[in-house]
Amino acid sequence: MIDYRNASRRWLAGMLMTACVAFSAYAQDSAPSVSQMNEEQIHQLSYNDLLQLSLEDLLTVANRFGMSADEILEYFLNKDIVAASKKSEKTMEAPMSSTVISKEQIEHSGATNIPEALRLAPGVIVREKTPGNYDVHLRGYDNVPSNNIMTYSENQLTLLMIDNRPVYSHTFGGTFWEMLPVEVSDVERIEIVRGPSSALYGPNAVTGAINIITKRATDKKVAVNFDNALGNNNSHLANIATSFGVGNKLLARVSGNYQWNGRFNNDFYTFYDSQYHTQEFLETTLDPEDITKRTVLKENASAREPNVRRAGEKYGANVALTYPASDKINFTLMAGAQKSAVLTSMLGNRWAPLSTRESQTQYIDLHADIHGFQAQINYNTGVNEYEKLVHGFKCDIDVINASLEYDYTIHNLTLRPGVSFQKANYNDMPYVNVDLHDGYMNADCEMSTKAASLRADYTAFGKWRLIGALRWDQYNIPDVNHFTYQFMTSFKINDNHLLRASYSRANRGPFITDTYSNYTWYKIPNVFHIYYMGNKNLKLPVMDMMEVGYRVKPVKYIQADFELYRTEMNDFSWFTDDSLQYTGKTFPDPAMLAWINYHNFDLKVIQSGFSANIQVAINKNLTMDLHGSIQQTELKDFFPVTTFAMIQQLQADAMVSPYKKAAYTIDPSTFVDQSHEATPSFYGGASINYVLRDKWNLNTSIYHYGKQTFAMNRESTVIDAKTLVNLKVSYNFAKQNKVFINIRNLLGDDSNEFAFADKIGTKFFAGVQLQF
Amino acid sequence: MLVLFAGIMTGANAQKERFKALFIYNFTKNIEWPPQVKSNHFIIGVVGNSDIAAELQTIAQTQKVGNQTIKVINGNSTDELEFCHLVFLSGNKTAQLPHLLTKLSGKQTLIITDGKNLAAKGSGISFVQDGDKLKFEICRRNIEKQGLKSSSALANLGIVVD
Repeated sequence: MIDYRNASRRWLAGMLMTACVAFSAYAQDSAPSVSQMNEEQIHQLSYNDLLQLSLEDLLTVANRFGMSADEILEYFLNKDIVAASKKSEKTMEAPMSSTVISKEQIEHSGATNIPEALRLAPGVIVREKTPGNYDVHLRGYDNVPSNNIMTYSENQLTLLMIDNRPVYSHTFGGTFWEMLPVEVSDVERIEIVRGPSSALYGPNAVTGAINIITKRATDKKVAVNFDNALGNNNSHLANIATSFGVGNKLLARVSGNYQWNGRFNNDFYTFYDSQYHTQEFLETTLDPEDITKRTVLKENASAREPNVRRAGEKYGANVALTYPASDKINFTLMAGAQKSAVLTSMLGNRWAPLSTRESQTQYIDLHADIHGFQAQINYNTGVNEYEKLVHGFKCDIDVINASLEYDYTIHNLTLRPGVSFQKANYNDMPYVNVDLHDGYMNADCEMSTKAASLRADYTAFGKWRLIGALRWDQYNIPDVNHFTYQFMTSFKINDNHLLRASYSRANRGPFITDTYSNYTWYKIPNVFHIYYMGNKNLKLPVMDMMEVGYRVKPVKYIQADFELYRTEMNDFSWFTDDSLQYTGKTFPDPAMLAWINYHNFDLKVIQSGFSANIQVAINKNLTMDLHGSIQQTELKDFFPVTTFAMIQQLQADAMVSPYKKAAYTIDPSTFVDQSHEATPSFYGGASINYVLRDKWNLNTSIYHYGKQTFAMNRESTVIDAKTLVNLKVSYNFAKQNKVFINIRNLLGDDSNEFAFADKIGTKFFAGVQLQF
Repeated sequence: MLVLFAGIMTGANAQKERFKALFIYNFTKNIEWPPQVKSNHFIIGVVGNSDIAAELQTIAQTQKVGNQTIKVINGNSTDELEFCHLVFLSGNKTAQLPHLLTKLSGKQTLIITDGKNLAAKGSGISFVQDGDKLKFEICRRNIEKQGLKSSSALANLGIVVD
């Protein structure tokens, strides 16, 4: 049978490509002179371009980047970073563990989306759940607490931002990567800061912060970029962007992206028998937990994903307008929208762990730099349906962030005071029956934070740098103030050696679900009802870190970065079975009721680790990168009982005293200390990029993670170690117009990378990239 | 690590050699050869540096000097260079410069050397490294002595040692 949707998509892509090729041919002639080019344009000159330059221009090019190994190093190795201290500086000087991934690295590597690109940085654990959909953790802390629902597999401890705009989801905590409106083609660079950074960025920057800096128009000249790749499993990736000037000063960039990712399997894992089965099986097999034996295992499983071959589909569009009014006044206005549907791991607790998540959101974001004041205000709104299969997981979201900071410099001291405000509203009332409490909140819930911060940066004797950052946050719920801090110091022995150390504290913010849950799960309607209740007095999890680091340039073509860290985290909250009661009532009143609440518990997690990153730029044409992390995560006072075992215990206790509510008491004597196996003890990667005769670009990369054990309430599973080898070869047929092949997971190990999720096999893409 | 280091040094040098080859090709646009040598191939001789010769071979595949296709010959001695339009004498063969000058005297050949003060010693153009910057000396007198004309751009952009 012909898939007309795919066919029409391909026709559209073909027409776009033809139009772009035609326009590209038309636009070949116009090239700016070298004196008008910025650094980036010079680096994009091909060998043929160099041959056509005048002697004067060739001298300029040779001396701006061609002959200087130092400049090669600066360009490829020692990139600019802002995120590490909120001040633009070279990565060699950055006081925190940090990495910058450049747009060139992303393009050369063949990373097909932003989470995959993060495999290029040390300290990031990236697992593909279903094709194109990822789990990303900084330094681990995955699945804490374990033995619970799959929500806790999400990374709730890393703050993701796009151009400093937090895109963290406050509903369940964490980042839903498919909901980002931008794609790799929009990325100028990705800045990654490892370690607690709340004092600089606010709540949720606990294991670190990731800031995606997007591209802007840099030139008034009309430019168009287009890339399109077709892959196996009907996968299709397409991006288009144009930049141009309007009037004297306004610069605009408009972009669009589209992805359709296909699956390697047609079936779904089910906890029913710990096997993969088709949707038909899920729709027709009796539910062993249903004492009435009248309902099927899962109703209408086709609603999970109407096309079982689709892992995900997403569209995004963005506009960025920059207006440099004067040297000291600059405005940037960004706006965009996205629509996505992905098959990913569930947040709740059902028999089949994969579920479709849908989202449609829009944002607007204004930045203003006015005489040293930096103001930002943004608004994000839309609809998210976190699990299509479960009623009550759909809500409207409205998030406002505003911040104002000011840079004040006196000699060697820079002070940066700031204030910020965040308000997030999540409202499920339009989609649920409030009287029945069949939504997760059944209300319009608000989380807000007011904050004040101060950062001081002082350099003594030109070598010794001291940085202190303090931040005070006041939350509406829980009604608490949190004080977080970072103290960092670095000592520059000389231009080639830098020692650094930091001590920092960060906290996670509250979530909607753990605060406001007010949900009645009609597990067996009129027979067994379970009440989920939020807790407005939860303590917020806090992490402390001590870290030392050393950066070195043993020769000017190599930059190496070593970091040794120890973190300790407390005040986790947990979703646990509180009590259960046999009511003695008969239909239609439920015979059994259970209460599940959010609590803090005594668990302490201690992690020690070491990361290394060695970058080599032999010349403009040959660059290499090698990084790896070894770490150990220990749980202290861990309660090693699954929430399922708890509810079974409650059922047994309630049987002893019918009609009385049986409460579960956690006995501290059952606490244990053990290693946490959900985080691999080793992970890392390497890549080599080689430019051959200015026409060919060959890039091969490896990413490896060690064995892990994922434990949730229904069962545990071992994720075997996996090594992914990728290869991208592109051929530059005219100017910056290229054709390429891109192979992900070349070795063909098709094991699943995430618990109970899809097989991830070899992906092949072929495509074009046009620029004119 | 030693292998890696050796590779790094080689790679950095290759980058320099590539630019020198680009300059050599660019110089041909700024020098005028007499009409009698503007037929057949434009022959570039390289003494002692196979990397530059290889880069020039790459250029020869796609570029011409005027209407002449480029032919590159590479060797370690100066004996086979009599018919060259341009000869590049690499830095480690500088000792052969007096012999080369004698051999090519008045033969419409641009002689390019690699090292400081060599234009004053008889070459037309000589590359010099000034820190990280690549520069070149130019001796218009030596170029004219070979029966060639140089553009004003060469004198404006180079270090004139007339």
